[in-house]
Formats: sequence, C-alpha cells, structure tokens
Amino acid sequence: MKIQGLAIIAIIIILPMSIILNAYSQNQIKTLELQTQYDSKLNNATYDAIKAFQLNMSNSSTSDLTNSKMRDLNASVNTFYNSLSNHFNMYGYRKRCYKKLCTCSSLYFI
Amino acid sequence: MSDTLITVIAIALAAVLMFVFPLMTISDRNDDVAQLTVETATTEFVDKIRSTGKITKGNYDKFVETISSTGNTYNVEMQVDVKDTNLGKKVSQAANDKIGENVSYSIYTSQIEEALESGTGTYYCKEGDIVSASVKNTNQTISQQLKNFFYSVTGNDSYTIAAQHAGVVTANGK
Repeated sequence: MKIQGLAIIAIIIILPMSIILNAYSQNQIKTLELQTQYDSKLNNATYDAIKAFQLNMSNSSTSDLTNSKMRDLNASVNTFYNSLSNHFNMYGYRKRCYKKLCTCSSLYFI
Repeated sequence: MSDTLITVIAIALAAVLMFVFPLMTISDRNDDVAQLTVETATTEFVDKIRSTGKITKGNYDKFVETISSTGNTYNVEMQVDVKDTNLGKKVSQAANDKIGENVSYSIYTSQIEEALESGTGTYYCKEGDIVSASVKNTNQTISQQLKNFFYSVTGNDSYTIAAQHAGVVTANGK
C-alpha cells in the first residue's frame, strides 16, 4: 500500500477520536462554567440580602427591638428571593418557585 | 482509478484539516473572548448603577460601545424594579423605606431609553430598587454560521453570546 493510503487510514482513525475527546472536554468546560454561574448568582443574591438588611437596620430607629429585627430579617429574605429571581430571569414567580429553585441548585452542588 | 479516488479523498481531508478545523477553532475562541468582554461590561455597567443610583446616557453609551467593539450586534434589555412607596401590606409599624417588604413595579428598556434621551439624560433610581441588564447577540457569528453549516444544530434566531447581571441599588440617585 502506498504511503498516501496509509496516511488516509491513519487520519480516518485519529479524526473521530480527536472529535470525541474535544466534545468531552468542551462538555467539562461547560459544566464548570455553569457551576461558576450558579455560584456567582447565589453569591450576588446573598450580598443583596445582607445589604438590604444593613440598610433596613441603619434606616430604622427601632432596629433594636426584637420584632423589628424579625421584620428586617423577613425583608432581607424577601430581597434574597427577589434578587435571585432577577438573576435567573424569573420575574413574577411566587416565592415557593424560588425555594424549589434553591433546593434544586443545592442538590446540584451535592 | 483507485489512485485517483484516494487522491481526491486526500485532498478533501487535507482541505478540512488545514482550513475548516483551524477556522472553527479560532472562531470559537473569538466567541469566548466576546462572551468574556460582554459579561465584564454588563457586570461593570450594572454595578455602577447600583453604587451611584442612576443610569446616565454617558454610561449607557460607553457600555453599548464596549460590547459593540467585539464586532457583533447586540440586543440590550434593561429592567428596573422600582420599589413602590405604598406599603405592600398592613403593618403595625408603618415604614415605606424597608427594602424587601414593599411591592414593586417594573420599568423597561424603552422607558429607560426615553428618560436618557430627554432632559438631563439621566434615569434616577433609589435605594432598594432592583436593576438588571441582559445582553444577547442578534447577528450570527462565524462560529454559529460554521456550526449551522456542518451540524445544523442551532437555529437562525439562537444566540451564543449572552450576559446578564442584576442587583439591588444601594444609593439614592437624586
């Protein structure tokens, strides 16, 4: 067999392997990218919640009272879900949908 | 006859290996760079609004210019969830400045752009509003065109470069 023929056979063997390995590594990259995106969205939502709590505390003259603290905490939790919905482009959904989303994302990380 | 067939196959394989593969790889990397640029610009734009409490025409134009510099066309969508000063529910301690307690209404891209084009060229936000911006490419990149040609997996309206960022405004703009 000529060297030309051998070269074609070699390429026919190597090319699919190379394509499959490339697709596999691209999938790994995409997975890592998605994980980073989820991390970043959850981090941002948490930051927003803490910032809201901080602002609510500093703006309130009754922030030392227990029921006022509870109210600030609830408002902070609401801010967390609102911010999360904005990050995931899920405007107008009910809070239980966001809770489900959080459960799903925490399961995703386990 | 056999030699001619092998030569034709060899030429076709050589063409694919020498031209199409490098072009696909380079266009993919180009899309990656564009994606990174758009993500960074979107995050910077939204974070600036959050920290200053206002959307200025200058900032918006700079943002559009930055993302356009990647060589693609984009659809920019902005939304501000304005905290309504009317209380969302009846409470014993009435306060309309709590973040996360009040109802909100949304202002969309066209309304924001209208505000940017008129008067001072600034849209003012207040503490507790939620601002978000999302960007998607509207043209077909070279990578998309090649993928459509070889695998036909992506439709004509699909996008490959997209970025989204949102957050609570922490300062009063006015």
